Amino acid sequence: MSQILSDIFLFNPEKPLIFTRLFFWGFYMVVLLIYSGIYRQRAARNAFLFAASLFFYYKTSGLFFIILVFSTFSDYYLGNLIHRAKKMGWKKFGVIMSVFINLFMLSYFKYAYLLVDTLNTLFNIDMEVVNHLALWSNRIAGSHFEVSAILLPVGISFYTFQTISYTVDIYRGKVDPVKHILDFGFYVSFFPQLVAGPIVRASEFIPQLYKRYSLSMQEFGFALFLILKGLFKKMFIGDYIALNFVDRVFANPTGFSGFENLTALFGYSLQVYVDFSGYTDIAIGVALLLGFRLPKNFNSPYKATSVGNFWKRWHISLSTWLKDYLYIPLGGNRKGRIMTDVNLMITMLLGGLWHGASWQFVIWGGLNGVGLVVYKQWKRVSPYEKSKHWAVRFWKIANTFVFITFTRIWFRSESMEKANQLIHQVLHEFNVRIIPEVVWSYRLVFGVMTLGYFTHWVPERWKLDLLNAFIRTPLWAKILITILMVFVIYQSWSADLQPFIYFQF
Amino acid sequence: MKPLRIFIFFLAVLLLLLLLSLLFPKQGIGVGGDLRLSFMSFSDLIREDSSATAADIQHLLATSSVSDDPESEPGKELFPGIGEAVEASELQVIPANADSLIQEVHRIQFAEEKVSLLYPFFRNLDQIASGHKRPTRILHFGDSQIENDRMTALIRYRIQRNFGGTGTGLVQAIPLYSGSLAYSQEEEGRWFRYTYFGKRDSTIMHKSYGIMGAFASVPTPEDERWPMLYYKFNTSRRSGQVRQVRVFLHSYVDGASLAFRANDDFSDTLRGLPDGFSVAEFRHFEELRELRINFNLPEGGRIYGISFESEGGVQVDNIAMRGGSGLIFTSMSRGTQEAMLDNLSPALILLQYGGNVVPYMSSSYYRRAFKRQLRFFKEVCPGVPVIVIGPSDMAIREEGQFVTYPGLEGIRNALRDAALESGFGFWDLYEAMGGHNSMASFVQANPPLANPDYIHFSNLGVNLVAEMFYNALMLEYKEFISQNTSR
Repeated sequence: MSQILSDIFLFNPEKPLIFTRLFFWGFYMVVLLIYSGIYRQRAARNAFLFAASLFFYYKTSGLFFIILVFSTFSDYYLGNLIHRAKKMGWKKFGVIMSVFINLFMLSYFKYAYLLVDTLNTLFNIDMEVVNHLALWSNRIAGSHFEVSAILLPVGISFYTFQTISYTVDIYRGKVDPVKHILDFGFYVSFFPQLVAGPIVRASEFIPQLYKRYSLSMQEFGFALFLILKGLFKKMFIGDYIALNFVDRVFANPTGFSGFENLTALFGYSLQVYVDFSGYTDIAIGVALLLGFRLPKNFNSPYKATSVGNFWKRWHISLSTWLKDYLYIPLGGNRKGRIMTDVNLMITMLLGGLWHGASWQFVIWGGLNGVGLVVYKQWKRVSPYEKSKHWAVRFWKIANTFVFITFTRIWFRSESMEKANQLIHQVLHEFNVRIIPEVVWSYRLVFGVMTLGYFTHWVPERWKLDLLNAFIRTPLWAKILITILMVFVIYQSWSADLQPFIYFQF
Repeated sequence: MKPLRIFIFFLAVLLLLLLLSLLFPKQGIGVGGDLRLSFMSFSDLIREDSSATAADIQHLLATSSVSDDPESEPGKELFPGIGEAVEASELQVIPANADSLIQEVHRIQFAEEKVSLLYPFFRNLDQIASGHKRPTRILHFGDSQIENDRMTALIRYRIQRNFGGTGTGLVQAIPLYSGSLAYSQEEEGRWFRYTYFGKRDSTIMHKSYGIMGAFASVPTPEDERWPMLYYKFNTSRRSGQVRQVRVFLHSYVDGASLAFRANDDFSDTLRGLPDGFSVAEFRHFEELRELRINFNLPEGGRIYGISFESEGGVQVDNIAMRGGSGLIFTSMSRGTQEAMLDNLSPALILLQYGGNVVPYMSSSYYRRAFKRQLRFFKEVCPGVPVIVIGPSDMAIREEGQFVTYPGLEGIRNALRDAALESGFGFWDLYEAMGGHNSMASFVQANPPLANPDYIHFSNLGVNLVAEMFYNALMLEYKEFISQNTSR
């Protein structure tokens, strides 16, 4: 019994509370049950969802929820300070403090190792990471935190950006401060989007805190469709190709032929999309069932016709955040062509670094920046820029997709060495004769990949027709469809591992 | 739609899923071919965590000192200074509590009357440690688990560091991998690699593949340009420090020549090589930074291997056979293998196989077939001890759980029995890494000790188990020294 209680209530790093675990859905049902008793009382509703979100975060990240609480307090009071201050100087002080505190926390937890490794390499020294926060806590409170390692709190990249947008929007006069700290805590920590976004703007979300609960039958159908679609994308497609193919190749590129490396790269391009967009689909659906609307985060990104267009379709909440809070404050496109390109590059390099603390992510961001800059110049001279011909459109989509996939080499590889190995294998170990054998041996994996890309590239109208058909089905049919989807996903989750196959290349 | 209705909706879904889990046949429903529909049982619904049955490997991590790079200096070595420990006084540097070490080390198993199996090899080590120039050689054969010098690299580095010797030993002229840390390689000419293991090229009618089970076909010279292999050595690594090179080749006619050019300033051409098998040797007075080997084989030929060595010390060869099960030695041409082994004169042979037969072969057949291979080594290398290293744990997925392959322990037993019945040694890698379901723990460790195929180790993981084997070997050596010094 104590084991069961401990499993339910205590943090276990090996069992985080994520959407793909059954335990999450048990948690969600308990939240729904309590919520159905209090959803009409606005204050109680927000306070309850705040508490549920903190529990969710504790189950996902352990005591790091204290950092989330700290972030909540500091930005709530700084927001009030910015709003009430009469003098511009105090307003500026408030917003600078907020940005500093958030970026300091993000840097401390996310970039300490990158900084130390880089300094060690540059100056041939032997510094080690010391967790001063843990050291301080151990001295003051007698705790026993590990001081030789800094762990990354889950979701810190998302909620720090979210709270920065809150104080900056108050400073810009776009939004009024939240009336109560519990409401603000709810905004910062709302569990569906806490771990992997979308990054919700204060101006979009805070007004919803003061609205009554409403959810039409159509919206219920839409939310359920998103949840099922997200689970299918993440678990049926993403997890299957990652476990049976992609992860194996990226773990040991030299053990695989050039063709396997290349197809694993395209497999990863699909996997990262279905993983991330699938998770966001579930987040949007789960939030909507509680009556809260989160912004759309992906819009068929591999249908993009240029790198610029891609970034309007991929992780939209981040790219618009970077545009509004980094690119435009840097000067945007207001300071001439060269400075526009410089600002774009800075934004993309820092955007790359936001995705992960390694130089591979900076390279990835840099390549995307170069893609944006080159395309800006190209479209000035291209005779086909305004063409509506299907072949031109196909060429643009294919070009963009291949370029974005190429940049994924650095996004996915654990080290520069692995990235170089992958490139080497593709360039020097590409034996065309083994392709039929590889395709046949990995037929299930390639079949799932084809299904993933097919469902991505089918016309939007088909997808809308399917969504509308689902929404129109009666409740009992929705129950059966949900069970069918769980059954189908289970087949992928429980499928035998793809046997390891040796190819001489 | 009110939240309570949504709750009831989810409740209905959950209850129907429970009902389905109770009614669905446990063995699943076949839908043609290997495909089978299945659904979780009620107990699986509750026990959904895939790591629940994984083996505990914490003790392995706690005692290891390895890193990703096999040549990195270890923080601690279980038997520090062992190579210098021939003098009794220096034995003191070995930690005193032998019992605790024996518990830490997963020991090599021997047939009862054969505990002295390794003594000839240990005497060779002793001689080297006492300053003899005569080199000693360990041939490490294996399957893909040792590809790209994995496992061998750490064993080689530790032994060479303690007993002397540099260089990688045998490599293929056209290697499967191009990721050697010891050297980089370029070729000129149309070279091809052929292997006896894996998928064989049906146009090759002979079985003369040499002891590596592979050869590179030497192109015929074109426009007076001799085909060339170029090596640039990474001399900062022990395995990249080379002074002596041996090329094992087969020319189709008399009068072949090999030209060696070292460090761009010294050349030596070996002319008049005979028709058939020969070994071309090249020695240099200083460490090689670069080496060009030009091949003038008028009608072409084969390269069975190239060995990069030091003059003395220990050489440890990595001979990986992707997809191999260790059963090809008796079916390849014996003459070339014998000729190579004569020249190499190994003092110890390691055979690390088993993983590739786990799903496909009966253990009794494998035991008999492997014994034939061991007999082959007994005949071609009389008196040379062999240690068979068993397969590592491998996992399959059963109802979402990663568990040990059903037949793995049978194959491990087959190899052990074959080794012990042949009078050789056996090291149980499967038990050393934690036994049942340990591969799942290796994959799920942070950082990972195995790749997500649940078969192959990561660099860190392979160094961890290689260190365990090295420690097992050195424990035997330590006991051999203790016996000798106490007499």
